[in-house]
Amino acid sequence: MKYMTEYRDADVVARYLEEIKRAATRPWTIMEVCGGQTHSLVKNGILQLLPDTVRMVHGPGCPVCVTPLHLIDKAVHLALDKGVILCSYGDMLRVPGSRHSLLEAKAAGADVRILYSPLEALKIAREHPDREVVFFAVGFETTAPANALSVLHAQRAGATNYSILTSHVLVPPAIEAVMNDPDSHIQAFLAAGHVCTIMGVDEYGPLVERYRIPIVVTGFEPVDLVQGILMTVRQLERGEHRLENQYSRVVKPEGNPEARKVIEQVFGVSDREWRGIGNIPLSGYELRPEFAAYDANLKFAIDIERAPESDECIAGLVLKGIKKPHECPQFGKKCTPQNPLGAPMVSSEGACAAYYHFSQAIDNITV
Amino acid sequence: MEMGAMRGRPRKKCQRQAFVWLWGAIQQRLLFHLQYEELMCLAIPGKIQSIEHQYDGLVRMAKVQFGSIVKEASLEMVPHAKSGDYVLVHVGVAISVVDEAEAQKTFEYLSQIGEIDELIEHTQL
Repeated sequence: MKYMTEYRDADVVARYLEEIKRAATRPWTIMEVCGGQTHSLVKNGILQLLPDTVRMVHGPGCPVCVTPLHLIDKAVHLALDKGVILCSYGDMLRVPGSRHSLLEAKAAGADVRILYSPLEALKIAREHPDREVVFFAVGFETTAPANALSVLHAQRAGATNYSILTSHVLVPPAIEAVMNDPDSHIQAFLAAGHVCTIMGVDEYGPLVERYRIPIVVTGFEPVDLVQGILMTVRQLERGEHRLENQYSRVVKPEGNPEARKVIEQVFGVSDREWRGIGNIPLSGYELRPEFAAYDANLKFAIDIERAPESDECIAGLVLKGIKKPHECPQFGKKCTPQNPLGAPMVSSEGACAAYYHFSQAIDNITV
Repeated sequence: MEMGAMRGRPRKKCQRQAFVWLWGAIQQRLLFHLQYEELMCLAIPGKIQSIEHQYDGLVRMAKVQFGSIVKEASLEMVPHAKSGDYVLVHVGVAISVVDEAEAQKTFEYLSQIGEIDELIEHTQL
């Protein structure tokens, strides 16, 4: 097995879709939490192939989208005014800040570099001991071990010129925020498979009980998604609410103990501001005090003004699953991936970008 | 004199344009793949080709093959992973070894639920 092509088999997907059609006798609204799943659903045309009874709503699981404007401004400030080598995932570059995006900062002469891994940023720091290197560490639980490792490696290598600008968020508090919203109409969740690869599934049991909703840990390939949806629909139809794991080839119930250990060592849980959603208590990671030397926020004593959000962008409503991307009056007009008003139009995990790139798919989607 | 004529193979303007268009399309496709398959904040499965130690022997690093692309990944989070295993790699770190027995279950699920439904129907009768 190659664990990829087999899960893209159109015949298997068709059989699952047929079974979903048979199983869903009433309308159901299911949220896929992760933006990677949103993209896979849209890109592979699954949204159009699902029966009208199954309505998928796209969740807040796009790290770039929920990174606060203020933090982007901080990154731009570090790159432009403090002269650091600012390293970031490619997705982050085009997200508009209040002054500039990182891409515009780069065009204005700042040393902004696109990397695939924080470990590469540390390599740059070790190659340029005379320069300060900052990694813009955005992400959910999946990315936390890599960021934690980069800090531990930096400590081991004595690289004092390396630090991270953290914007780490967590999935379970986001599910709570979605369910606590009075406008929410979500009846079940597909939980993000790769987050659970790290954290395990234990955190979701209490949510299943409290909100009496099915949660199915699901993978990202087309066959994974349709199987996850079928498992969810079967629970809903029977009036059940259980925690199930569709993605068992990767997700162990206990998660990855080594990864959890390094996260625990480097990060502590803290309150976090989510762009478009607001402050969510205990919903993110912050570097522990013993790693303060690697915290770009403290190291550079950044003190810049908080800029207001654009009032034209409805990203918050899209992230909470209340509006669909194409229900935004600016969608595809004033807001495109080339000139985005908000982050969901930029990120490879943003719902707006998914709808824009695969826009011929939208016409047929029932909303 | 035109370049094509110098080489003794005159190339028509439309042929050149077609070539430029095709090359552009290939590049677009490559960029698309880079953006959507490689750089995405997702984790993808790849096969461990070889393992070596870095940072004075403290860190296990692997060459991992994703289709025709080979990338380096840290194996610190998967201490039992060995050459030939499929690992899920996210931003340069392997986070899980793919379990072959579990992987098979997805393809057996449909026939299983068929049997379960039949069983339920029979008990109800």
